[in-house]
Amino acid sequence: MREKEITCILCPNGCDILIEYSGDELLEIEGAICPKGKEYAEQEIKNPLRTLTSSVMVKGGDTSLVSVKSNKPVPLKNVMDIMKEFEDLKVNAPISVGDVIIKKPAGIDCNIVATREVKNK
Amino acid sequence: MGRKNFDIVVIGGGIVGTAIARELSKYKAGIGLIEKESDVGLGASNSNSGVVHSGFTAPVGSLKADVCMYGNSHFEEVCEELDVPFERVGKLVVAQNKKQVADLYNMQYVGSKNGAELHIVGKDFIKDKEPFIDGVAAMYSPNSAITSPYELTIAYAENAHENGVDIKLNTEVLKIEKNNSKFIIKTNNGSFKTKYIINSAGLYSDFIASFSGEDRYKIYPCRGEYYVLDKNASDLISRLVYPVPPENAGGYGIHLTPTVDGNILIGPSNEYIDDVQNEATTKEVMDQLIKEAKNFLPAINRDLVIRSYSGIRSKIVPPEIGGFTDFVIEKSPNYDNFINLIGIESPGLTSAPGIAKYVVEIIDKMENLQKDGDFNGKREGITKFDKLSLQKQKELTDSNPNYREIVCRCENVTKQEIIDALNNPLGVKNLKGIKYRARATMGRCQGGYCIARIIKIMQEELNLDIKDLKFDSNNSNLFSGQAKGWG
Amino acid sequence: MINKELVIIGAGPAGLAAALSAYKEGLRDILIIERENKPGGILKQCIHDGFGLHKFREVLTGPEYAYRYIEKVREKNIELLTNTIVTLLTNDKYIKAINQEKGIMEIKAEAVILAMGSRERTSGGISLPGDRLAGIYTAGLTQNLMNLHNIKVGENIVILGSGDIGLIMARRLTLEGANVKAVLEIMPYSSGLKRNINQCLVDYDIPLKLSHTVVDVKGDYRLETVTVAEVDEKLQPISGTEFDINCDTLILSVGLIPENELSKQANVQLDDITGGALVKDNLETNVEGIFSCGNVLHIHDLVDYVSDEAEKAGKAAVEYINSGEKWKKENLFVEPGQGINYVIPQVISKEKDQIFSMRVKKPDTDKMIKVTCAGEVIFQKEFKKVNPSEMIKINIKKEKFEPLEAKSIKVVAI
Repeated sequence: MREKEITCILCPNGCDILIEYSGDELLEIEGAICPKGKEYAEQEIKNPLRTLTSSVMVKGGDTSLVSVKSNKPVPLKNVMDIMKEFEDLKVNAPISVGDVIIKKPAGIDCNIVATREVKNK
Repeated sequence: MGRKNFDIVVIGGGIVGTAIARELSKYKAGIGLIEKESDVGLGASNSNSGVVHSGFTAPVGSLKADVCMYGNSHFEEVCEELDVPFERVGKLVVAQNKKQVADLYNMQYVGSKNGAELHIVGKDFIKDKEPFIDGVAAMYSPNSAITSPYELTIAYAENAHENGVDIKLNTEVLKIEKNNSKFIIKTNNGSFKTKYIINSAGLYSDFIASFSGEDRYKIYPCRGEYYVLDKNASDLISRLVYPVPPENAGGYGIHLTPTVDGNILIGPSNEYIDDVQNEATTKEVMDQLIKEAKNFLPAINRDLVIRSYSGIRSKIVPPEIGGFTDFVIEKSPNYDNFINLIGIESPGLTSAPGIAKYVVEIIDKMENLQKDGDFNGKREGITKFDKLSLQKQKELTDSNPNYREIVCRCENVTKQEIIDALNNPLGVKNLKGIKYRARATMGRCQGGYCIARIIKIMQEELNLDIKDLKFDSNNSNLFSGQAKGWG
Repeated sequence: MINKELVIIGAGPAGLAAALSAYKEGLRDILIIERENKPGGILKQCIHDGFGLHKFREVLTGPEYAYRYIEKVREKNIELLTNTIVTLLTNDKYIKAINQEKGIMEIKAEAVILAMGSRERTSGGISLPGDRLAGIYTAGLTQNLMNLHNIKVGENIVILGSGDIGLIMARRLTLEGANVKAVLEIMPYSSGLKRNINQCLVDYDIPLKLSHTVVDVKGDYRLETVTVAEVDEKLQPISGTEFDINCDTLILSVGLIPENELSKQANVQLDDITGGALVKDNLETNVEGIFSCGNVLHIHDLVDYVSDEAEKAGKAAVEYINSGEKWKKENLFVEPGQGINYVIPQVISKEKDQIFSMRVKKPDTDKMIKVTCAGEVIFQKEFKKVNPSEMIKINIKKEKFEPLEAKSIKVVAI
């Protein structure tokens, strides 16, 4: 049995939740003010999901990088695999906010999208 | 690759070495200057108080008194010629009690013998001149002044370079041998032949001197730690404010120094240390600095501190004796044409012009040096945008777009000044070189805002890869490389 | 000389929101001056997510949050000068600015909104002991270099200070292949958000060492070792607890300082604790027609609150321009009392509903925030948890102030 303090990030309340769990199973939960907290806690134990943010190099833009994110949370355990896809990638300017930069990076179910605009040089 | 054969080689590119090199460049001779660091003036010359002393602490009749008095009376002229800031701000040595008032009279006596103008003044005078300072009486020295010690060192070196001195940076002396009539200086950067050697190696002068059979002197490194205050505090004092020096301290006591750039320095401490390279600052001493400074300037607090640093005095008085002794400037026991300068600590900056003249006279007596008609003693520094009138600023911005871009916002340094600093005559191409030439990164944000901008200009001007940009020496990479696109 | 009704200094989240709010109030003669080449301020480099939950009810990255405002500023054609640095501001609202295109500009404004943000506390500011070496950077600079310039400062990293930027950079550097060996915090608690400790440190097994600080840094031109020690309750290093960590980089996340250099030139009076201006409830400083908002006023934890505050400043500036209305004398001074570090605004009118922003002195549980006047409680609210890293906001109706006789009110946490 393990104990862990997690912060629910589903809404601005940001409940600090104390959980007890064993393997994948949630045993005890304390501190969540709504039912979503429990869902979040269960997810955190089984397969924590994170929005990945990083940057990708740009060719011919007014900046050398474009910031990107995964358009949905991805498994924490796959974050480094996705990061590898960015390493030497170069995308062409111009880029608008929301443009898809990579589809299904490392086979993970999400798109990598631009979070800023890049104009031509 | 530059030349390998010289008539005269100066070892050490501090304020004294560069002053000597520049003085020598007035004559027809092949002159070299060897410096182990990536730039001139990176030792004690950039980490002292920047004070031009009026000569009241040097022993009467000493060489130190002579060269210091010469320096004080010629400093303004030197700074004018070399385009270096100089301000005769005056100094107050402030007594906190009756016992110290007696010390003031003693200092006045010694100082007057040396020819310094000194007045004992009362409480009212202190309050009138320095309203934030507490004290019962003071000795006022109207001729004490301030300068920028690193700018002057750079200026001396640049003017020497302009007049033919070959300045070899990143060049560390490993060994010196005598071969017939010439010395062979072996360095990490090749060997150099020379007829004369001038050893102005500061903290390493005892090591260099050992190659000339000189073993009577040992350097006892003595560290001084400083605080730099925000320019917002500049109104707190307008003159140098010193305490009465503690007996046999070998320093002047923790004092307050206005700088030519508008900061105030607190320090230096006085700590004998084992390692000549240990320029660290320590928590204990920094706490002490604030405490002592508060004694006579209660308005000081830590929030005003923007930086701390330390410099190391090259003392030849061992710690168990303490205090000061005279400068050693003499021909070596084994060779007349190997001249050692040892123990040049404070007032070394003030004395540099006098020492340079004195050393050149020694050589002249042996060599009968010929004046070089082509010598040009005028040097122009980088145009400092922030110090100009609005009218002048407009003229510059109208004619050159690089003056329209402020790169360092704390010190209002423009892109053009960064470019000028990068293209310095000595060929110093690192961040510290820019700092000491253009003042960028020296303000209250310590480069937080401008470093990214400077890096970009460095890349544009030098065409270097990110991972090859240096802080100062070749071992000091600024960054590990690109985040993305390593391959 | 250029004449402008409203000049806003800074196009970060505060400046942009202030401009849009002033526009919404009907003002058209607005100029935003920005020293960087793009608007967005610090958000440009905050490429991580976690912004906008309060304001937009969704989680955005920094650039996305900024873009929502930038788009609108463009749409409304609000004048924005980028790459332009203000070098002088006086109390009669004369501004000297300089840029590539126009050279030196002199501008006279009717009202000015200060939105310059903050700068980082440096190694000099905390008197970091040891050598002066390459490889010591502030967290924000590291973030700027990495996220905007593709520069990685080092490979083996120690972070001093557990402020949010430090935590975010611990993760960011890890993702880019660096080895973050530890995050050190001199206080017995972190000054960063819980969420960030979990997602930036715990996720990547980066140790957080509370009550630890750096007592020495050593190296041969580039950093090689930091010496770390535990500290006692007075935050003094405990002798004998020292240990070395080998690293090539030390990153400092030791606090932000409101960037009020221009404000000082204009004789704006500052609060010793916040480092920002002393303001009235309309966010006007002691200098008539000069307003302050965002991190230049006080350091915020969430950008959403910066936007709210800036909107208020924008609105107030327009009221000032339109009516030339002077501050009413019927006012109350607001003082931080027990357990409270600071409260903004410092001066309020009795005739308006008020929102107070405050920070507590230390983390605690089950605290009552009380507002008292001459010993009498006029407002109280219970908080299960309070933390210096999280700003607390309370709303009080004007009815509570109107009957008050005394000249000041006090806010306490007990």
